Amino acid sequence: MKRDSLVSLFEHIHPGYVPETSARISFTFCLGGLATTMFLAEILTGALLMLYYYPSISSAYPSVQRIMYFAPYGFVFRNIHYWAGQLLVILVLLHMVRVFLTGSYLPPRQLNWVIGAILLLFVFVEDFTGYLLIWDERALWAWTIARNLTDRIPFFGKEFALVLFGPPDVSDLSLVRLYAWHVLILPAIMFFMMSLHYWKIRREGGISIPL
Amino acid sequence: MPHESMESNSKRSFLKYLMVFVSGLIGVFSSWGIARFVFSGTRQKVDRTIPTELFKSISSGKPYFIPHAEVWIVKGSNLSNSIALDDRCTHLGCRYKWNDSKGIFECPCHGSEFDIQGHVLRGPASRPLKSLFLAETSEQILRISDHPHN
Repeated sequence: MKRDSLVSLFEHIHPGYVPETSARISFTFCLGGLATTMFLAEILTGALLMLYYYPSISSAYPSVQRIMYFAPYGFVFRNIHYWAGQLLVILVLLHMVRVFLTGSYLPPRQLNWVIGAILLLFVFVEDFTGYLLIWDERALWAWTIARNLTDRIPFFGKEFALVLFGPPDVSDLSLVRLYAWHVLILPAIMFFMMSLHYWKIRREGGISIPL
Repeated sequence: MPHESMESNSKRSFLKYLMVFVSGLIGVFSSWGIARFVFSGTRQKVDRTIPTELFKSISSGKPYFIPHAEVWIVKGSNLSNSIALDDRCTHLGCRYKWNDSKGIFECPCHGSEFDIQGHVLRGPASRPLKSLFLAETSEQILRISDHPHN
C-alpha cells in the first residue's frame, strides 16, 4: 500500500485507539500536547527573533530594544516567545502533577517519567538562558551568581562552570556561549527527547487508563 | 438512520471547511506580519556625507547630483545659502532629473516639474522637493541631514 509520508507521520503521532476513559479531557487536560504546542511556538518565534538579536555585550540589549520598538510586530513575536516560555514551565509542571496523580509513571512507563523529568530541567535551563540573553543589569548579576554557584560545586564545579558559562570574566564569549545553548544545543536535545517521549507513549500502550 | 448519518456528515464537512478557512486566514495574516518583521530595516541606509573638497569643486548656479548621498546640491555663494535636495520626487518617489535647457527639475514618471529651489511648477506633485540641511562636521566632511545643527 502506497502511503504519503506526511499522513504516515500524522497517524504515528495519533494512536490507533484510545480507551474511552482516557479520552475524556478531564483525564489529561491535554497538558502534554499544550506543552508541545508552546515548544513549537518557541521555535517559530525564536527563529524570527534570531534575525535581529545580536549576542554581544554592547549590542545585545539595544538589539532587544530594536525588536521591541522598531521592527514591525517585533513586540508581538517577543511577547509570544516570552509568555510561551513562562507557560511552558507551568504546563510541564501541571503535566507532571497529572501524570503523578493518575499513576501514569508506574511500570512500564517509568523510563518515560524520567525522560519527562529531564525535559522539565531543560525547560528551566532554557528559560534561564533566555532571561540572561537580554543582558540588562539583572541578567548580568544573574549570570554572575549562577556562574559562581556552579563554580562552587565540589570536585568538578570549575570545569562544569567553564563548559556552561565560558571564561570567568564577562566578555562577548559569555553571551555567545549562552546563545549557543539557548538556540541550538538545548532545543536540539529537547527535540530528540520529546520524540523519544512520544514514541515511548505509543510503545508502552498509549495514554494510561485511570487507576 | 441513513438520514441521520448524512446530516452528521454534512455538519462534519462544514466544520472541516470552516476550520481550513479560519486557519488559512490566520496563516495569511501571520505570514504578512512575519514578512514585515523579516524585511524591516533591510533597506540600506544612505550615507549622507560628502567630502568638503567635492563640495568646493561644484560650480554654483547649476545643480550637481551626488549619487551615493542621493541628493542634488544647488550651490550658492557659500555654505549657508547652498541647498541640498533629496533626489526623490514628492509625488510617488521616482528619481527626478535636471533639465539643463529648460532650467528645471523634471520627474520622468508622471511629469512633475520643480524649479531650481525645489518649488512645484507643475503637478501631479503637490509638495516641494524635500530640502536638507548642509553642515560642516569636520574640515574634510560635510553632513547633509533632515534637521539643522545635526
